[in-house]
Amino acid sequence: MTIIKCLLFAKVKEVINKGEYIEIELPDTECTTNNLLKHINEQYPQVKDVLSTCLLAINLEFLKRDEDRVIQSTDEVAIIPPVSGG
Amino acid sequence: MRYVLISHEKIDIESCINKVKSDSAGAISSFIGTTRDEFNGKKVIKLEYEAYESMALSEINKVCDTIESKYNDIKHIVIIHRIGDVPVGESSIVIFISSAHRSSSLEAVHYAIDTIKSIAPIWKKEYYSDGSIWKGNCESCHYH
Repeated sequence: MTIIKCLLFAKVKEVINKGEYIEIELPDTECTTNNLLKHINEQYPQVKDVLSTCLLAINLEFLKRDEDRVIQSTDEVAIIPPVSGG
Repeated sequence: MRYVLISHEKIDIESCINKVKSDSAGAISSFIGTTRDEFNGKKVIKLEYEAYESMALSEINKVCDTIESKYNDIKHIVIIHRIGDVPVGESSIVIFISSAHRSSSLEAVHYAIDTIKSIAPIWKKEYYSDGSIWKGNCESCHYH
């Protein structure tokens, strides 16, 4: 199994209510961002609605919506809700 | 010179101006975003900002890269975003850019604030007397 650490912010952090990050275990053969999202939705069903409005960032770069990418335990993965800075 | 910062402190406007001053600049252009006391008629009693700091700095630096490559007479750039509690009426973001000629820094400031608002991973929470809500800038909601 591979453990992926996911950084949480703003509304996603509030809804999941587990602190600054969660760790999700993925089978080594299924270590992709789509599977990560699937596991998060299964483990934290309360976040499903807000998660559908979020983008993922891998190592400080946005992933395109619906892009699926292979990830490793060393990647910095973050869930980015719609931003509202400024 | 480029100075990009995410800060918990109140922003010192005077020191921002001093940082971008240059004898070879003919203009200092600026944007100061301040926190409003109402949203759709509801009174806002407090605002709170949160950032994914390392990525926000990276995105803001990309904005600076674009500005410096697009305009060849930019002298200095200062961009500071305040996070944590920001009382109503205080500055949440400041952008100061100096350039040899005014059109470059005026356009660059406009580009910088629009881009930062739509992509920098920073979030604002508004507190009302009857609750609170995480805001989403519409242009960044990934749908509209």
